[in-house]
Amino acid sequence: MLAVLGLLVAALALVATGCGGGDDSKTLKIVSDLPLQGSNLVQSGQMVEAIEYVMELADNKAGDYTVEYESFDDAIASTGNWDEATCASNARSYADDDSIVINIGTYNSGCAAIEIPILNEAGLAMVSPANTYPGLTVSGSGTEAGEPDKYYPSGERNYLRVVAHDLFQGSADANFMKNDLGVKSVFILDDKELYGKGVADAFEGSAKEIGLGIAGHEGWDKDAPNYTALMTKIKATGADAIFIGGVSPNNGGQLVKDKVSVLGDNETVKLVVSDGFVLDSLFKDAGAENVNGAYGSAPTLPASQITGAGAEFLKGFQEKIGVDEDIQVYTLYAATAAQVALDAIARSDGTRADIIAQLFATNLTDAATGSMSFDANGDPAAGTEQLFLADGPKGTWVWNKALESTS
Amino acid sequence: MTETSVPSPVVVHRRPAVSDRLRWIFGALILLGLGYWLISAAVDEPERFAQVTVIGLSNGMIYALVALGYTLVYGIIELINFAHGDIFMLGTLQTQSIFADGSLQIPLLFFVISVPLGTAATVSSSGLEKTYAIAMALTVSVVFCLAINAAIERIGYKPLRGQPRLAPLITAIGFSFILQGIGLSWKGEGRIAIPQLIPDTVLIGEGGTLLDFGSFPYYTVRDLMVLLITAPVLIALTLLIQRSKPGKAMRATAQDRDAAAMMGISVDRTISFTFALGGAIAGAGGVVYALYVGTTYFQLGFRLGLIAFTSAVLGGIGNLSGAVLGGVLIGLVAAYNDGFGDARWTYTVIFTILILILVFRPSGLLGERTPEGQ
Repeated sequence: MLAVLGLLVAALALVATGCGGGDDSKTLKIVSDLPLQGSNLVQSGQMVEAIEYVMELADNKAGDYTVEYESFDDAIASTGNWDEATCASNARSYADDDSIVINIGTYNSGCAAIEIPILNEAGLAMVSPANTYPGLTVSGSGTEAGEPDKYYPSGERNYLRVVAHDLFQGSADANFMKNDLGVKSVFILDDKELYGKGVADAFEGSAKEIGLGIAGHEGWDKDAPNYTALMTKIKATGADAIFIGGVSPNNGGQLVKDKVSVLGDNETVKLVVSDGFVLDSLFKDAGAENVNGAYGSAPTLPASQITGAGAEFLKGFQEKIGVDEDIQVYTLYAATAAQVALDAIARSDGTRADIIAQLFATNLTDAATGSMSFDANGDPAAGTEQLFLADGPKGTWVWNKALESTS
Repeated sequence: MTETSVPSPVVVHRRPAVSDRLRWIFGALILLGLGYWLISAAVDEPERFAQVTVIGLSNGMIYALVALGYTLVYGIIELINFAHGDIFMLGTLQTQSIFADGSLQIPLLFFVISVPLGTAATVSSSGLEKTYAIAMALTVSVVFCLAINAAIERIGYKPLRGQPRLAPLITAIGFSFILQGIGLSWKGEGRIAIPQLIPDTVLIGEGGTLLDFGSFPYYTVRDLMVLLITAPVLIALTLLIQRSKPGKAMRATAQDRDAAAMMGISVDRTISFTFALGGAIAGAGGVVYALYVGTTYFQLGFRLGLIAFTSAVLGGIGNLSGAVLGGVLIGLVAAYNDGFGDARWTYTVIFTILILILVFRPSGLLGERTPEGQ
């Protein structure tokens, strides 16, 4: 009995030392929360490397604080995709660990919708390098009732993102279709998921505003064997363009393939896709000749367009990971998120609350992707939207130009 | 308390005639509504209606091929072989290996054994190379799926003969997940493209090589391919079951297992034969799907298996013609809804129709043919 009591006292003493502080009070921890399984790994693995490189350059210091970094995975091996239960349990573990002050994540908006409220109640900051679903920060077309307030039960904001949201993308795409491609009537398809439906609704809202004709708006079923019957319907509407909102792993290759087989190539009936389709894997899934000539938009600057301090960072990073490795779309945005995190910690008093306040007061001029500051919603003060053109023979998306957005 | 209760005689309550009549009126109204919707679509846009019908027929024939496997096994041992859809999925993956790598692949848990069979076939391969690849895919996929289904029966179902029905059912669900796991470790979790060996050349319709008319590509070489592979498989299967000795043994076992055994039929061997046959048809279905659709992934069998199983139930489970009818009907309903309704609700529509049909004809359109149903 005494032995048990002794063990208990010893355990309590250990816990007390752990929570105590002493020299540890100057050590803070940031985590990243990304899907690190399957095909996601190409992108998210590089994002982790970029964050590690930022930490290395800063020598794990932010002002007077020593900053530790740990990478967490929100995907499961069986599907290779983010998982609701994993997102929730990850968020709860960050909330419970007092040393964690910022979560750099998530990659998927659906996962963010689960994590933000949990972290919000714990007063813990979250900076996403890749979420583009508008409803996480703003209300408007393409968002659901009660958004974004339902994600912030404490009434205070704790979430920021370094990429522009999809209202911006929807508006830019609608303007591009009407003014540059001369589209008269567009048929909209979405994958019925939070992100896909969000960007498609945002596009529809903007298209109506600028007087671009809508031939129809439907969701596709990712498990259907093919979409030829759906495409014959689109053909019958006389639409001269299709806008796709969604992610290509949701049978996007089949969708694009069937679009071309029924409606003709992307010159005859124009095809514009959201950033979830701007992946090189689409050329393999759909057949390069079927993707050729499609346009895709993304809220990210390609590596080739990065200048100034960002270009320096990119050069060093490229040397670190190997010159043959292609820089993925969101990699530099993960670096920016890490730089924003270190900058805010350096200016803070080390508490979670002050770190959130300092994040909103960010004014970085030399981040990996250029200048970075935020509006009151946590969105970048100056968002960007870039246009890419699918090059079939090369099997890749080629940067075309920056897009104009009215959102 | 001391009184002994006398069991009351079983009284069969007939449903009140009014509710019966209401049920029929309700059913007739829905049928009329559906009929009106389809006829008006056909009158308004006859060309597109024809095109959508062809798409529905081709998809339906693929569903039918998978449905046959469910119905064969159910007909003989009244087991819903949930792993059947996944065997079909492995058939599509094997076809992909043969087309893309030119090799037969045997997936083991952590590695894959590759047996080269020739060179990879692509769209631009010569006609002879393509024919060889397709013939090889058909042979290999059929044997591969046959072997897996036979092995599953030997390992998982045979020891459970005579056990409560839930035991093999749960085993079937277990095998379904194991096969998905094999598919996942074999080809990864993403969707994979299968080289399109059959061109999408239009035979009848806009720019058709046989008949050039209208504004839609009504009938393509790919649609013809589905028919050219499916029809002989169906005819061969019907002949096998109706005319051959093993077919007779299958029918006898399905009707009365004990009597069949007494007549000298090896019931165990007949059941194993049925599973092997089901596997072979799944393998052929996998090749047709690969050629017609052109993409696959490890979870393909789950949804397609569900649709195929539904087709089998719709037509009357255990009934071969029923499985074909059910498959084609579901293919048509899905295509009509995708083409004239809203694609978001396709599966809701399919299953609503299924529920309605089951309410009026609980044993399916053509009726069950099982030992119990006879």
